[in-house]
Amino acid sequence: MEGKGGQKRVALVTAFFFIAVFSLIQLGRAQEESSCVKCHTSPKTLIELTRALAAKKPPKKSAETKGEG
Amino acid sequence: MAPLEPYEKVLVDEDFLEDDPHGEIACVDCHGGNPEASSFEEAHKGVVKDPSWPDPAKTCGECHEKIAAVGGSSPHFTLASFRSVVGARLSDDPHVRKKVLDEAMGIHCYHCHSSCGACHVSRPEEVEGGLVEGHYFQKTPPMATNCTSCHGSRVEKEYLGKNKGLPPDVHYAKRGMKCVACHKGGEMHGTGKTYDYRYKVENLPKCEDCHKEVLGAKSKVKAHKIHKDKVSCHVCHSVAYKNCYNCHVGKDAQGLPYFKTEKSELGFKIGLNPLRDSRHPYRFVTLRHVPVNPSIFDYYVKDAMANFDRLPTWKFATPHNIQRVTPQNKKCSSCHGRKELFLLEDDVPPEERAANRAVIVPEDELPKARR
Repeated sequence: MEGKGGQKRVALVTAFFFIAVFSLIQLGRAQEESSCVKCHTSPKTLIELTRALAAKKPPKKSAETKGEG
Repeated sequence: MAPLEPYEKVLVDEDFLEDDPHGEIACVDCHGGNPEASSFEEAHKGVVKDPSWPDPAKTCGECHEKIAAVGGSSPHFTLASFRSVVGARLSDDPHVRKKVLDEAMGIHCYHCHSSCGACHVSRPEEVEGGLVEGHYFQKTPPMATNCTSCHGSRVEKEYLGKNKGLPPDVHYAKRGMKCVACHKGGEMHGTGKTYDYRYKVENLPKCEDCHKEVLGAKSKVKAHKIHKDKVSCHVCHSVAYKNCYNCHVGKDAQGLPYFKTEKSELGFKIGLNPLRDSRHPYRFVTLRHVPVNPSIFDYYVKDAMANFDRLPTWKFATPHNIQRVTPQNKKCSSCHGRKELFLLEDDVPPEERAANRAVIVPEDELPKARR
């Protein structure tokens, strides 16, 4: 009886171990994603950032362009 | 089309991450960059804005293997015909050719290319890009934000009836057909074969694809029976379309590239077909003047277009403004005997006559007047 109980415990511990490892991997991946997603889904953050960047960047298009392309 | 605000261009819809299968892929897997960095600069180091350009195989091709394998051959992707038509007119001097085909066209022309992403995810770079719908992938590219972003000056205005006094194309006006109704994925994605001229693409749409009964041997339309293979569909069913006459490119005092084109004009000219082959057997076709002139690349190298006369400046055209009834097809005499509809020698300035010799209609070949 004790032998069977011991096997059950080992199986449970093994299962928990794999679940924990899998969850940690997923958590790590989610954290890795979060900084991209956090900024790129926030209009407020993007408005502030793009305004600051636009102020630093020179214009890309020439004012001399005339007519239809 | 109004440009997007800078923040709108990169704003991802939160639901995209849940709803769109592409949202399951980590940002970094396609775009690179460093999601663990704490500063904007570090986070965006090495970021690839359009992961489908220039090689879609490593991103889109992971799942869409067949399309990505041939996608690189699409004229939208290669712009091979830009290079071939300019190249044909250029001097044979290798220095001149390099200066124009690589340097000048690299600065002014080649950014017009498309990519998987520029049709299915964002607006094309030519109109400063920006996500179309919060990064949702569009199975069918939206006409207004994608197709006509680039094909706006001529096709859009013709097709939607934006040229003053001219109606929209009947396919749009009556059926609301969008570009993809005719220009299907197979054509857009390419076949694996590179074409040096867009009218050589083998799976281009044909009017016969839909209008079999009125164009086939059993057609009950008398005019179709008489003119079959002699006159292109557009000769009878197009109305006036846009013609551009020149273009100049260069860089301004700040080193920014510019182009200048003179005012375009609406007109309609029938000429001889410069492209007669089994797909285009017609003797008469509609011709459009394209924005080309001998001094177009003078900023980079003088007199580069030493072989300007090798191609017509009035080119084979398929205007997108089809009407069932047009001023020239109402009755026989609407076209026969009306020389003003045809491109004659006097319509072409002397300096362009040699280039257009193959398309100018000799007076003795004009369709005779009918009662």
